[in-house]
Amino acid sequence: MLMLGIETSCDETAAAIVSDEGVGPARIRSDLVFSQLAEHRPYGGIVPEIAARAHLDRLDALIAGALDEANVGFGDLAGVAATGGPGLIGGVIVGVMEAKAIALARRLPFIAVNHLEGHALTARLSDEVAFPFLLLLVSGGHCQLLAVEGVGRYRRLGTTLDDAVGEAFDKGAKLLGLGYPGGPAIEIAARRGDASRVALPRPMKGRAGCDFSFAGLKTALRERVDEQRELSDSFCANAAAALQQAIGECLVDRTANALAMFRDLCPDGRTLVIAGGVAANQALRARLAAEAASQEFAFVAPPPKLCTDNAAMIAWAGIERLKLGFTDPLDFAPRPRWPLDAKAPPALGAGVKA
Amino acid sequence: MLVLGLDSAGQGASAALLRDGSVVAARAAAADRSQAEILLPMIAEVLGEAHTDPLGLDLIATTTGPGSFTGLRIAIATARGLALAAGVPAVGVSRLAAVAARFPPERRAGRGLLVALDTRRDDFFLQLFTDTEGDPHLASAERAASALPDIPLLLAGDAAPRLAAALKGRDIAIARGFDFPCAEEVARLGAILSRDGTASPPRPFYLRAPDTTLPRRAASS
Repeated sequence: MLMLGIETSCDETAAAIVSDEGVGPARIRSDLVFSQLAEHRPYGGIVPEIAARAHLDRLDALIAGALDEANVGFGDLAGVAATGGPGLIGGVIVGVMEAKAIALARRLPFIAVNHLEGHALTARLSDEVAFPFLLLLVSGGHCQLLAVEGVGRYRRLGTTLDDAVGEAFDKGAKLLGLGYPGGPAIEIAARRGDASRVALPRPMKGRAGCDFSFAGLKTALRERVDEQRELSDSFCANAAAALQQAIGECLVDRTANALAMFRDLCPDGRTLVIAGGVAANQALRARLAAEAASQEFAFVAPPPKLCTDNAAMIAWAGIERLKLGFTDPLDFAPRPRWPLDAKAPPALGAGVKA
Repeated sequence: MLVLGLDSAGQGASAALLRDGSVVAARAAAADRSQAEILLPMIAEVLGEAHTDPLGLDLIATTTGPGSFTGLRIAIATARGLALAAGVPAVGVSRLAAVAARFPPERRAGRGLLVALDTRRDDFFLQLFTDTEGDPHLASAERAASALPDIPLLLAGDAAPRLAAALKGRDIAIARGFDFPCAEEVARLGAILSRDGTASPPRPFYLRAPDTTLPRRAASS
């Protein structure tokens, strides 16, 4: 079974061909990503209308390129999967329309994939992880802990109450003048810094449950920045290290609680999976791996290229869904908001991040 | 020649199938349902009614704007996806040109044709057709009034009544008999462009830059 995957929900335009035959990432026959970083960098963040325009400009060529690289044609496909939400709606619409049109033209099943499910199931593509598992989903738009019981079966254990963790990195990097996107910029600057030189809080640490909060961390960092007469390189490196350490401690503390909750819910589950763009951060991966080991959980972090937004994960989720008979009609409406656990109450102030 | 026409760049959406210039099947809907939901089922219906499928098409024509940014992307992404997967050529048609095609010189009663389209703001998408074809542009009523030549005008397009009200004191007639969405017109015009060798693939025709402001202190890298 070969699946075309399309991803257009944020600032990466991506198309990929994935097969269900083989093991691990070898199933990925092609995986093209066009990053719109250059378009958005002057604004210090993603401009939705610019993103939507760029997706439309690039998507055709990426789809053709993904087919070429995999050496297959539309006639070889078993289905077309596209991110149907959540995300920046102008971009999601472009990918969904193009996917639905291809499905109609070649009489193929169309699968609307929840972008978060794409991230969630990536560990099954990269490392054959069995259900159930505990998922820490950390990205520019999300920060959640979920018990993953099966395809389409998610139970939210905790979520951010305000900013997503990727936003904490982006806003921190902006305050420190380290550029955009903030995650990689903070990680690189932190290597030269001494975290103990800049005092930052650990929001929610030590509290029951496993919800997150990062808005206070951003405010505290702004106060430290305002105390400086000028932003020296050494201060910025120290602040970057302190921010990364504070975020790491929060993630570990919340995940530790979630592991205990998950063990009660799913006694058979023994794996902690980390996914989403922030999962590409090596320092955070190391901390979370240590916490998983101390609780006798296996730790799985997909390769960084599969943690940041890509279309291979969308094609893979399409394969998993199609095998269970989950397809979507041609009148599918793109969804700006689409929680994985529809029964979980929206978190106050978190918007689509919950 | 079997041509599929699409339009979702303004209010609503429509799809029309024309064989050698005659309508075989057509669907149109007002704006009460989202264009992203209704467009593909409409296309499936018109193709089904004609007992064909996208592989049987000779040409796909779509409006490219100016109009709603999201709306024009919906039809263009659809046209491109169909064209790519079915191996059928696709052409883009300006909505201003689609309106003008309905009012050729012999139907203008000696007037200059000014096509005015709604922008959902105070200004207008405008194009003047006289002996020559003016440039499509975006203008306020005041700027339009001062820039227009002093000739009798025939106003057409969905913003024609609104613009006429702002151009008081001039010799103006309002053209009737054209409404968006306009898939039938688009299919017809697309076929003509294709026959004349002046067709180009559908590219978005926004005519307005995204609303953005650069931060005062732009990020350093």
